[in-house]
Amino acid sequence: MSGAGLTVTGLSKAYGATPALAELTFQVRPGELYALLGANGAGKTTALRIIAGLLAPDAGSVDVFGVDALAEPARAKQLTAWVPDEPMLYERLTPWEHLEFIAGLWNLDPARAQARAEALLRRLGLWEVRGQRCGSFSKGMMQKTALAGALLHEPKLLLLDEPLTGLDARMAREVKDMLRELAAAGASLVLTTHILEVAERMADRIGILHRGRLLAEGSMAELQGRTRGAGTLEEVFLELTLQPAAVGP
Amino acid sequence: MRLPAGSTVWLLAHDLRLDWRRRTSVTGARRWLALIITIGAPLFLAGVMGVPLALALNHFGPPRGWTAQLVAAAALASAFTFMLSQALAEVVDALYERGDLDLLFSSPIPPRRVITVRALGIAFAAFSVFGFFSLGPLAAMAVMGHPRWLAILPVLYACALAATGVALALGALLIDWVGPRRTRFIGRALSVGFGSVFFLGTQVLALASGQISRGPAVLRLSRLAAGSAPRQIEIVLRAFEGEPRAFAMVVGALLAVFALATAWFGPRFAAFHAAAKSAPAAGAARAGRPRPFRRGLPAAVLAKELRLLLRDPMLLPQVILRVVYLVPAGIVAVQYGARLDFTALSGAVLAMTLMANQLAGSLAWMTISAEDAPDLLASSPAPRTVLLRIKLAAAVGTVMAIVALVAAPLALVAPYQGAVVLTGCAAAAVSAGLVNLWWQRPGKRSAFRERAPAPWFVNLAELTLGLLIALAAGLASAHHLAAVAPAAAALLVLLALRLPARP
Repeated sequence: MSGAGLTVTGLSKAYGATPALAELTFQVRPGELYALLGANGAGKTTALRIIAGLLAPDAGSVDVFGVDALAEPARAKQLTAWVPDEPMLYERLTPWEHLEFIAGLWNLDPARAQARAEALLRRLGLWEVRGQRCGSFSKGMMQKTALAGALLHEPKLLLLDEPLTGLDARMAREVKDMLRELAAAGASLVLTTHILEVAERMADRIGILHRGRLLAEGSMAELQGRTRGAGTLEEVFLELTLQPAAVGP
Repeated sequence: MRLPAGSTVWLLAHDLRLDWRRRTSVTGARRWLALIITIGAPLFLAGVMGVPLALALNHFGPPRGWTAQLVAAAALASAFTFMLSQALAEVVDALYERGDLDLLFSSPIPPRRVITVRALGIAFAAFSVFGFFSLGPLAAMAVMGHPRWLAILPVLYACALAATGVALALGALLIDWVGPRRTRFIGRALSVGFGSVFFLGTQVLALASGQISRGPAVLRLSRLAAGSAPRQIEIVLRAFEGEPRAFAMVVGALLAVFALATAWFGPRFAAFHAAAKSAPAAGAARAGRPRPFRRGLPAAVLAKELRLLLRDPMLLPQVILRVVYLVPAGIVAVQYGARLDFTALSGAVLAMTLMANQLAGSLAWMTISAEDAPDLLASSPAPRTVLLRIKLAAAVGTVMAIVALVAAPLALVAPYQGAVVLTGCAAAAVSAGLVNLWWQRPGKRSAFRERAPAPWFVNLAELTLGLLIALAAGLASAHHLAAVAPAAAALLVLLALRLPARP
C-alpha cells in the first residue's frame, strides 16, 4: 500500500439495521482520478463522508497520504478537501469573504491564500462577482464558489460528490480541466457522478458500488473485459448492477 | 364528503392541514405535554379567570364605566398590533420563504382565490393565540349565564382578518415603494415594530409625562389617555358584550378592511410574489481591491459570525427591538441613579439583565445551532471546541457591545450600579450562550422564528436562569446581600444543565 494517496480498507457502516457500506476496500494513487459509481443509495456519499472525516465508520481504516485519518483526523483534513453536491456556502457571505473564512479554518498564510483566492476566482469566472453575496448566485456559481473554497488550501486528496451538477457546458469543461491539472500535479481525486460519460472520459479507474459493496473496479478497458461485450460504461454499469451475483471485484 | 378540488374550501382545508401539521410536529413525551397544555390551559384559565369574571358580572352587572370602555378599546388595539405583527411576518414569509405559492400560482386556480385562502389562513394563525387563551374563560362565562360575551371571539377573528388585510396592503405597498429586496428586511422590521408598538407607546408616554410608573400598561395608558380619547370607543365594549348593533358595526368595519385589501391587492399579489422571488440578493459588487484576509482561525470565524448576524434580515429587527426595549430601561436607570434611589433602580437593572439574557439566547442560537455549513466546519482541521468557543464569544460580545452603550450613561452617574449592570448582563449572556452550547438545537437560520425547542425542562431552566441572574443583579444594584442567594441558585441551575450535556 505504500505510495498510495488514499487507501480505504474494510470500511463498513450501517444505519441501524440497514447496511450502507460493507467492507469497502479500494486505493487511489497520487495523480489518479478515481470515479465511484453506483445507483442512488449504493453508499457512494457515505463512503466519501467517512473519508472526509464527517462520519465514523463501524469498521475499517482510511489512510490519506500516510496519515491514519481515523486516528489523526485533523492532520488528514489538512490534506483533504470535500465538495458535496449541495455547496457548503453561506448565502450572506461574498465569495471573497467565504474564501477568507476557509483560509482561517485551514490556518493558511493570509498573503498566500489571498493570492490563490484571486487566481481561483479569476479562473472560475467569479472575480467580477467577488463582492456579491452567494445567495444571489445560480446553482452553478455556488458550485464554483464551493470548488474555489475546496482548492484554496491546495489539497492532496480531493473528494467530489457530483461536482458538475448545475454547471453549464463551458464551465463543466473548465472544471474538468482543473481536475485533470490537479491530478497531473500529483493529487488524488475521488468523484461520484451520475453522468457516466464524465466518468468514462475522465477517470483513470472506476469503482462500481452496489448496495454498499464494491462490485467491480478497474480501468474502462478492464471493466469492459469483465462483461459480455458491453461497449459503453453505461452498458457495463447496467450489466454489472443488474446481475451483481455474477461478478466479483 | 369530498370537497370540490380547486374550490376555496378545498384550498382552505389544504392550508389548514399544513398549518396543523407544522404546529403539531412534536413527538414522544413532548406530544403528551403539548396535549396536556392544549386541554389544560383553557380549563385552567376558565377556572382562574372565567369563573371570577362571571361571578363579578352576576354581582355588579356589566361594566359601564369610562375605564372599562378604554380598557376594552385598548385591548382590541393592542390585539390588532400583535396580530398585524404576526400577519406581516407571515406575508413576508409567503412572499419570500414558502415555495408553495409558485405551485399554486402555476395552477389553473385563480390568483385571487389563492390569496384569499392564504389570507384567511394567516388571519387564523394570528387569531389562534388570542382564541386559545380567551376560549376557556369565555366558555366558563357562557356556562354561568353570560353567553353574549362569546361575541369577543368573532370580534377577535374579524380583527385578525383586518390585520391580515393591512399586512397584505403593507407588503404590496412596500414592494411598490422600496422594491422587493428591501421589502424583505423592512417588512420584518415593521413586523417586529408592530409587535412592540403598544409597550413602547406606553413607555414613551410615561417617560414624556415624567411618570416612571408601575402597573399594567393598559391601566397606565388609560390614566394618560383619559380625557383625550373620543367617546365613540365605547362601541368596542358593547361589541364585546354582543350588543347586536355595536357588534355588527365593529365586525363589519373590520371585515370591510379585509375585503378591500384582498380585493385591491389580491389580484396583484401574484406579480408581487414573482418580483419578490426574482429579487436580487443584497450586496452589490464592489469595485477595487477586496479587503485583505485576516490572519488565523479566531479572526476569520469572528468576522464570519458578525457578518452573518449583521446581514440577517430576520435577526436584525429582533436585535433592534431588544435595543429599543433596553433604552427605556436605561433611561429609567439613569433617572433613578441620578436621584440615588437605588431600590427603584434595581427594577431597571433586573429588566436590562433579563433582556441581555434573551438577546444572547437568540444570538447564540444563530451562531452555534444555526450553522449553515456544518459539514464545512466538520471537514476542516479546525478543532470543534475552539470553533464553538469563538462562536459563543461572537454572540456574547455582540450583546455586551449593545449593553455597554446603554449602561455607559448609568456608569457615569452611578459607577457601582453601572458595573453591576455590565457584570449581570455578562453573566446572563454567557449563561444563555452556554445553555445553547450544551443543548444545541440545530436548525436553519431561516427557521429562526420557529426554531426547534430544546427539551421543555431546558427551556424552563434557561428562563429560570435568566430570571435568577437578573434578580441577583437587581438586588446587588440596591446593595442587598440577598443577591448572593439567586446568584448561587443560578450557578446550581447552570451546573445541573451541564451535567447531562452532550459531547
